[in-house]
Amino acid sequence: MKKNKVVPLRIPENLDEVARLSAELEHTDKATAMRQWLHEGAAIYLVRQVGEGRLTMNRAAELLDVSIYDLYDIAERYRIEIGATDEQRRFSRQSREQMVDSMRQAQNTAKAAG
Amino acid sequence: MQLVLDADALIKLNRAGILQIVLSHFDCTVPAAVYDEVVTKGSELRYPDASAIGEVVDGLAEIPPAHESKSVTGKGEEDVLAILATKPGAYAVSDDRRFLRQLQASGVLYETPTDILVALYELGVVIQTDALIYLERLRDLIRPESYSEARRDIQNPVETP
Repeated sequence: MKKNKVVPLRIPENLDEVARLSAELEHTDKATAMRQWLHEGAAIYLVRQVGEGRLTMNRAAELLDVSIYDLYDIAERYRIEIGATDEQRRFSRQSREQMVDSMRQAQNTAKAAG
Repeated sequence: MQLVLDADALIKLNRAGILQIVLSHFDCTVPAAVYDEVVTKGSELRYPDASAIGEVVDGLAEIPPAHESKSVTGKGEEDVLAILATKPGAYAVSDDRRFLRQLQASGVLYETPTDILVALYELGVVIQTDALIYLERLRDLIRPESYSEARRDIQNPVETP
C-alpha cells in the first residue's frame, strides 16, 4: 500500500465539475478521479523529462513507484519521443563501426589461422 | 565482444525480437539491479515482456550481484557503470538520453539497441529482410531519426574491402 499525504489544493470550479463528471462516468468518486489524473499527469510529465534527458527511465519509474514497462507504454501512447540525441547517435554509430571492424578483423584472423 | 545491457536495451532488443540473437552472439552482462527491475518486478506485475526477457537472459547472460549505491540516476545505471569499470573495452548498450550523457562523460563506449541491430546485419548474423522486420518492430520505441538512419544503413550498406 502506497503512503498517502493530504495536500490542500485550490482548483478551478470547471475542473471540479469535470471531476464530478469523470467520477460519474467511471463509477468512482471525485477524489479518486482526481488522484488518477494526478498520477497519469505525473507519469506523462516524467516521461517528457526522460525524453529531454533530464532523468533516466529507471529513475522516473522509481519516483512514481511503477514498473518501467508502464512508462514505455505511456511514451508510446502519448507519442513522447525518447532516445539518443543526434550527437549521441553519431557517437553510437562510430562505436558500432569500430566494433564491427574489430570483429571482422578477428574473424579474418581466425580464418587465416584455421 | 563484451556488452553491458541496461533496462532500456533489454526491453527494446526484446521488442525487436533480437534479444536471444544478441545474447548468443556477444558476451553479455546484465546487472542484477537491471534484471530485478525488468524481469523480477515485471514478472510480479505480470508484464508478458518480463517473463520472455527472463527466459532468454537466464543462462545466456552473466548477472553479477548488485552494488551498494545512493544514486540519483537509477540503481540499474549505477550498476552498469560499476560493471563497465571492471571490463575495459566493453560497450554499454542503452538508448536512455540521460544515461548516455553520463556514459559519454565517463569515457565509456556505447551503442544504442538500434546500432546493435545494424551491427548484427553488418556482421552477417541477420539477413537484410529480417533486419528490416526487426527494425520495424522497434519503430515506435525509438526516435524517427534513429529509425531512418538505421533503415538507410541496412538498405545501403557500406562495401567492405
